[in-house]
Amino acid sequence: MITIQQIGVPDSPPVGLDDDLALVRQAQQNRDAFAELYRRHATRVYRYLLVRVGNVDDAQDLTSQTFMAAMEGLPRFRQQTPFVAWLLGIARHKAADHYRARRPEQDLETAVPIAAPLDHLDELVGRSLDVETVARKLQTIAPDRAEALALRLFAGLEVAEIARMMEKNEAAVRMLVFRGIRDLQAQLGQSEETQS
Amino acid sequence: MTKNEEQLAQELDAFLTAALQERPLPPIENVQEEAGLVAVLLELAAQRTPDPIFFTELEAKLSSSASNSGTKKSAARPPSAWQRFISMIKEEFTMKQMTVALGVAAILLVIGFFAWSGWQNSLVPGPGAIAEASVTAVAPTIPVEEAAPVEATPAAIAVLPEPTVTAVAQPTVDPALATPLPGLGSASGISSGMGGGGGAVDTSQPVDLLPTDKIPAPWAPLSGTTYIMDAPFPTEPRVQPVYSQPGQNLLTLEDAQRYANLFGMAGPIFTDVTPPDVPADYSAPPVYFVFDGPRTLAIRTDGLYYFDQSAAPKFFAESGSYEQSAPIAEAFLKERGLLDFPYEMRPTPGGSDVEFHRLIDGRPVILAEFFVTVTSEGKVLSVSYQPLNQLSNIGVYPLRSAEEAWQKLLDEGVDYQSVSFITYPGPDWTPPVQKPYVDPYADLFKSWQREYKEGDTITMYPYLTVHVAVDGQAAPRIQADQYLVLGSDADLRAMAEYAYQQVRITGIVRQTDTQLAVELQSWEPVDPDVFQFLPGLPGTIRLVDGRVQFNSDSGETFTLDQPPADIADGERVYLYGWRTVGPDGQPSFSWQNMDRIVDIPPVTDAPLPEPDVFEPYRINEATINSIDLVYIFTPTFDENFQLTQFIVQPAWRFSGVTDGKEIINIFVQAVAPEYVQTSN
Repeated sequence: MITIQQIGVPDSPPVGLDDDLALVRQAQQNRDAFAELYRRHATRVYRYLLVRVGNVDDAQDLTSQTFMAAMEGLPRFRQQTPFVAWLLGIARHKAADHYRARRPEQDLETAVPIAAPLDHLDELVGRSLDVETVARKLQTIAPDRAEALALRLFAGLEVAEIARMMEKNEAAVRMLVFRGIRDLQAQLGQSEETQS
Repeated sequence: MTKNEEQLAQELDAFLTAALQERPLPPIENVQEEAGLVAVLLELAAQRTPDPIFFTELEAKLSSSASNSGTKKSAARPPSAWQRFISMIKEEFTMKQMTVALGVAAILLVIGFFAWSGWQNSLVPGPGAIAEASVTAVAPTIPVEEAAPVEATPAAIAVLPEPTVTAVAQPTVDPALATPLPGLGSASGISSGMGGGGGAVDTSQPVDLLPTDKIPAPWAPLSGTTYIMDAPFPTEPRVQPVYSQPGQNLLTLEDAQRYANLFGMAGPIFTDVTPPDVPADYSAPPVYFVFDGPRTLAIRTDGLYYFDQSAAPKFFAESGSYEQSAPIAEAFLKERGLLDFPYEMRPTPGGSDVEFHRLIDGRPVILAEFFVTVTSEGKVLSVSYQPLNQLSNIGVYPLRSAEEAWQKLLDEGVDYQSVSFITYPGPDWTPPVQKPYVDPYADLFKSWQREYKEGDTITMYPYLTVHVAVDGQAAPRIQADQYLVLGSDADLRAMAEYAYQQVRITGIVRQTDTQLAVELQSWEPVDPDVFQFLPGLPGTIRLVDGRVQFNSDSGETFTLDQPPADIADGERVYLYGWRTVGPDGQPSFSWQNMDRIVDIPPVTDAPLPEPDVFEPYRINEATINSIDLVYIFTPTFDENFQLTQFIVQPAWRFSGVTDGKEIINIFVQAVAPEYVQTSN
């Protein structure tokens, strides 16, 4: 039986991201001030990209691309949208471009998880699960579920922010995350069965 | 989607939200395995931070790029940004998003200064860096006697319909009994990005992306700045009232009705349906809505947001200049009786929106109470209101003098607690020419979104956003994606039971310049066993006998209704849409959008150019040409990051221009230090 402990994400502020606004205003006037926005959100963006692309080199490359594009595009940022959602939107496009450029064409049927849910989470923990494995497994589940999972767990976005980004209702996002977790469980369970 | 599954999703999300916010975790009854995996994934995420060298190099690269392009961006909002905003409204501004927008807009102005303070605080360099910062004082070049202060923003206009200057001669607070005030920058939770903290109870936690020895030199533009004092030091006042205001419950249902009347909106008052994931013991602050044709008024307990879609016909508008917009905005508010307090008008720093700042005892509050956006056609598009309607005088506090405040800046530099600053482009500032970013692959990608026009039949699978009339008399107002649902009272009431749930709607598109609607023909809850979403099925487009056909790689064939006109035979696409069974029992398919499948050739890495020398942004010289006392708006929070109150306290504002032709405002906390909380 696993004990669920308080999990903190100390360097990924999860709430109250509207406080970026003043900083964005500064950065729109002085691009040097963009450095603080970068410092604030680099880890969030990096983690999101890492779990989307599955390797450090690509995650770093796409993180660079994301922030360069964000800095260039900052004058076009309209402050009605939380900055972090806008930034992650750029990261999403970068990841999508990356993924499209490399994605092998795959029948939908093979992408649907069919394994039974993982029964023993303790085994999963003991198996030294890593982000790269999670990233690979995410590529085998429905894209919108994988996307919602990545944005929620690795980018630390609020449901409302994800809903806006994915043009879905908040309830839909919660459902995507829930189903995504179950799909991931199934995929990890399938991997467990394959390994054993 | 079954109700049971939705409840499970809510339970998991409650756990996930608590974990992300580092709050006590709720009990898990039904999703323990899922919550366990969530916990593992969060821990995995927490363990992965960017490589310090990569992190540092990228920051240097960004800074270098910023420096190369002249370090400054145009403050003027380009039309394209406006177009993007209007497009966003057209495409995304459902009523639920209106709630979100209100949340942004109504607290934006609060957060503006709040975040600014926090941002300043977040940039606090280490003690060593502060000690090393050199501030050079230059004697006043012009001995001024009674010269009027020069406003930093020339366009600022002060209006004093009801002067409320209070003659205050003596402090009324005793240091031993006085409520210690938060520092200007002590809303320090913001610095950690936690959206709260500071004030009366500072519960902020430091956030360190990297060990301090890996972080590049802190952003400290005023380090080593030479100041030229070109203004007289005011000798008064030496005492000043300080005010507080509750953080919540500023506006009520009665206020909602009153504001609806003031805005001339006749519709019934609606409120949104409580989301299903809200814990039973939590009472969400109500949000009231009034809809009147293209106009929407949303009233929260802490502010309101008004939006007029008719100001943006065809969902497009350009913003007007400040000079054009200011009188229109002022007249708009005055005609509605909203400017019932002394105020000062000024443009948004670096922008053209019109801000109205309350004057307290003749001194402006550095927070826009009203924020008005006017189009180039002279129409008011939106109004945000952050009320300062419940101010209470909490005492008259002794102040340090302006000269003492200035000396503090010279002696101690910017500490981001009691001394902060802001800069923005001045009238003589010239925006540099920007080198546009070009995505080399941008032309390779193409997407097709299914589009509908007036009179088309549409089948959609939205999650419903429902507003119900407060008095229960009017039919619910239902939004399905960007469409307002038009139907019988009975249909709308039945559909309202499915708030936040997914339904299938078939209807006729009714579109005007300012409204998208669907005239309901039929609807039903989405059953995942009946309706299946295809999330990106790869295949090939074929044009067959005048029809557009999609042949999936897995052997399925769909005919696409209302196909895009510009799609070619042989196009390889990922197809997104819904598979179901039609009324005739035959398989049916409703496509939503398509993405072109792109094969990008392998990229040959070119040698990287030598990185430019990193030159951090610095303000070399600042000439101060006016000094005045203003009020600063400091939110305070409890240990749960809940906004408790606002403190409105005086600060000395030193305004001038920098060597880079920017306007600079330096704020020094005016209340005598013995009355200020000691920061951690």
